[in-house]
Amino acid sequence: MSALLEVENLRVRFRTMGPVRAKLAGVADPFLDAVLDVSFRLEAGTTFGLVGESGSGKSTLGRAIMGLVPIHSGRIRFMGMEPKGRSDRAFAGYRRNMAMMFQDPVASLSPRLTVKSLITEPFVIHGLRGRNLDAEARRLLDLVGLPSHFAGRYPHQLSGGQARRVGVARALALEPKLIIADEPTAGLDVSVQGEILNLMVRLQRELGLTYLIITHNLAIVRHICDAMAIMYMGRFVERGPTSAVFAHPAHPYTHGLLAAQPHPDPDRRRETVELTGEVPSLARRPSGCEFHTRCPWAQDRCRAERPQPQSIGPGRELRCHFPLVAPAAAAPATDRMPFQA
Amino acid sequence: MAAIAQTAPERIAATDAVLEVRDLSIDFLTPRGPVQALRRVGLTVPRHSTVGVVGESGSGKTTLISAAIRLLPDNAEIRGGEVLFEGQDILRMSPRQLRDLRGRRISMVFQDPMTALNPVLSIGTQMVDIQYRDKGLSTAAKRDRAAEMLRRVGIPDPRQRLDNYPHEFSGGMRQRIAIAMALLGNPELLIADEPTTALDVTMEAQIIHLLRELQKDYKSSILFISHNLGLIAELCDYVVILYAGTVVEQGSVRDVFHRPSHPYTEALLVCDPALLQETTRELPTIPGEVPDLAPPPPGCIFAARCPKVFDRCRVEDPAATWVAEGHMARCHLAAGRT
Amino acid sequence: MSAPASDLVPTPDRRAELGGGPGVIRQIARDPMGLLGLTLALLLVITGLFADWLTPYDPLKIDVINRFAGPSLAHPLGTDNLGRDLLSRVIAGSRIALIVAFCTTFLAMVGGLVLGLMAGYGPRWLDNGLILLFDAVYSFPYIMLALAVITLFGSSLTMVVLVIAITTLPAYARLVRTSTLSVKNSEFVLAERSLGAGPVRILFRHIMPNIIGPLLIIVSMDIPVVITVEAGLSFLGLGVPPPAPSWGRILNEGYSFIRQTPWVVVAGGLPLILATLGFTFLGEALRDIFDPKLRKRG
Repeated sequence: MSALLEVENLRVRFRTMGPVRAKLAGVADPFLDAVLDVSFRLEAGTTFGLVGESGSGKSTLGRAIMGLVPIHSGRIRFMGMEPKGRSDRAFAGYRRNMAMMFQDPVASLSPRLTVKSLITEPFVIHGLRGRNLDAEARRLLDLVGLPSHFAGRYPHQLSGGQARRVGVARALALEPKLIIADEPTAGLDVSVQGEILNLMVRLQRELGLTYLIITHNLAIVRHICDAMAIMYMGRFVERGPTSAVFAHPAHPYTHGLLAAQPHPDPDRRRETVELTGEVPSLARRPSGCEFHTRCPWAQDRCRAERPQPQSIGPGRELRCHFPLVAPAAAAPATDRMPFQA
Repeated sequence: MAAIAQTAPERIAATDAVLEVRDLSIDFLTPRGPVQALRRVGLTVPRHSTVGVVGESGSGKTTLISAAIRLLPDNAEIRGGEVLFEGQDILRMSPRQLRDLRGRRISMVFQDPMTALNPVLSIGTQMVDIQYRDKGLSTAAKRDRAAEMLRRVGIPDPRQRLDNYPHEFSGGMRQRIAIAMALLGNPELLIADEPTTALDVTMEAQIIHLLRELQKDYKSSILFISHNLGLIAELCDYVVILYAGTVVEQGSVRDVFHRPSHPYTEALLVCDPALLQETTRELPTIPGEVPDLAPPPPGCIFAARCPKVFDRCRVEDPAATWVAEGHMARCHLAAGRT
Repeated sequence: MSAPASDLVPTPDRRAELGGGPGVIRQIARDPMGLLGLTLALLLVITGLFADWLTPYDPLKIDVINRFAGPSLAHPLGTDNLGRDLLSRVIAGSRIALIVAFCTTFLAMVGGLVLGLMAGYGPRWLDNGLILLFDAVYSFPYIMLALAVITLFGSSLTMVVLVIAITTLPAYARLVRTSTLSVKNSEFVLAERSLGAGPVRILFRHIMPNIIGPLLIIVSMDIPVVITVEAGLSFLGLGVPPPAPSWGRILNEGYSFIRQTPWVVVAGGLPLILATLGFTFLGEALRDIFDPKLRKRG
């Protein structure tokens, strides 16, 4: 059975300097690997969370799947289609069924266009001019819970939450199967971030959507993602059903991330900080397991040998020589298995 | 707007206070009319303590701290109140007195460390420059102090790194440097405005931990602004909950988080996904928007969104009620309780 | 629900920035310098457009008997060395100034916009090639170019317009290129690409409207410059050929005959000053409206 989205050994690189300069400076490989050896499958109707801090490559991965950044090697298959070539045209058909919600809701809206123009733009771009754009605009605004008079507003007249809803409306215009949401709650107050998430969940139910949610906010992942993957320096270090990962984090980085979440209870203050230091520069990757420089449990083997992905339970995969959890304990807490290993 | 009856001046503790805001009201003059950004706000920062201000967007927290160092925008008008720093009113100080105060006795750390760092000067130069008031010290001595401060905030190889430029450091490091610069003058009050919002969660945890230690070592007081309840619980002794320009609740962190006495505080705690025990696909929210403050609606400012609202709320602005020693809430329900 | 809830600190009136026509005029009218500038600019435009009907005499009509006459009721600005009425020549000259000012800047603006967009958005090699071109033309002194062009093609109004347009274009193109480079990576352009928008759509519907503001300001500030450049060329004899009464030419003639009468110089110089001042004030008022960040505080 094929999944909605299949990613195999994906690698995305960025050039740091031109070939001439690199030769002059003696730099053999003037590239940075933003995404390395990433493989996963996404089943239709589910929500997958991509978690990582800055430099983890999660946003780049999302953009690579959308075709907005060129991939170096590896394959992406979406609805059975594989884009041939790298140009925007190669991605056109593929893109009709996929939409992206961007991190900064106001900045992702073209400042000189009205809300109506913005959300009906996909129709115009794809040559579906026959449709009644006014009606479509009203339908989309209604779908995201915005009153129809918003159609005449400009992006700078919208609050963060309203702009996000417009972003959702625009993403829904062509009835996509997959929506990639980059930090859907960034910048939103705690009291309203539920609104956008509840909306997304409701739409998923009503329209049969699949979501890939890119975020650093572990708290929301716990609530709305079926499965998740943790990224560090471009690689997946842990992947599995959300409930299982939260209940028994197997990778020291996952463990550290969970420990770093502040808890609104003054009686639960942490006296020590588990993860110290910073993410190393992508230009100077550590040897062996790239997390060894910060791992409280690092051993010699970790410095020398890079861990390969290993399965530690149904739907769970890990890159670590010394997982924190014995494989048996890594079983998911629920019996819902949204994807295969 | 009905007069707010105050049973007692708004003090968290009767002890010695580094900063005391009393009855502060600030308007912004806009083409639409005056916007009442702060209305009779009062809070106290006791000596050697950390006070958190929780405010979402539109709460007025930026206005509050701008007033504390008197760097308000041109169209701001102070309608009344005082901001007492060590007993002296900042709002009535001369520019000379303010210059003396800023950077030495009150310093600030911003969300973006580049607000404090000049990109074209090395950090050593900057850290020596801000010690300009210490006329007795030689440049070498100032550099020594700077290096020591960098070491203290966790920058490795501090001496060598004095010659580096801000762009050669990561975001987390830059924030540490900004904190180091803020503490160089050994201020009585450090104001931190969302200092970790732009940082990763692991770096955030480290910075919070650092602030806790530094506060103890340097015996400063910290006024910490954030929308993140978890951070406030981690770092602060007292908390002030600000909603649409009004202080709706304040008290010790334990009192407010364990026994919230204002529906807004309760709702905030409920909405925080980290606090929700059961995973849910229907996250709680506070429906509605922050009200338009030009002019504010009659009655309680939270009435339009309050799940426990009743008729009186829409008509009469609640007075400050002391639900316990040092714990205040501005709610009719709270008043009914005591 | 009116303004965004977090908008407690007000932002400058954005309606004008979005190209609201009548709003802009109203805002200019509020600023005394802007009003003066608008008036003078309008004066030039109207005079230039209706020159044929406004001239009391034929500007080319020679009347040697009355040469070097001072101002009088019959000849408010006097007459020149060939007895031609100076006021009529000045009015006729305003048409030349108008054509030069607007045609030149329009050509340069459109050319600069298209080339700048291409350089900013297109592939690296195109960008490098175009920059080379811009810099080459930019560093070429316009007087040399005018000389060369006139030698090859003879002088005429068309040649003058082309020469000035070509030498002004690179500056605009560079500005557009820089703006395009910075906007090209914004989140909304990325969003449009993700929707499947092609480069032409992105350039003209999304990038151009957002960068044209500064360009328009610079163009409007260049109008007086262009008028002066044309006058300079005419003064040197490289501009519009005689007997066309370009203001620079009048100045040139007045300069030769300054011992006989100073009024020719006044006739040539005064409209130049007024036009230049007028468009400069207007340009500054527009700048203040469209780019509040550049406005002086206080």
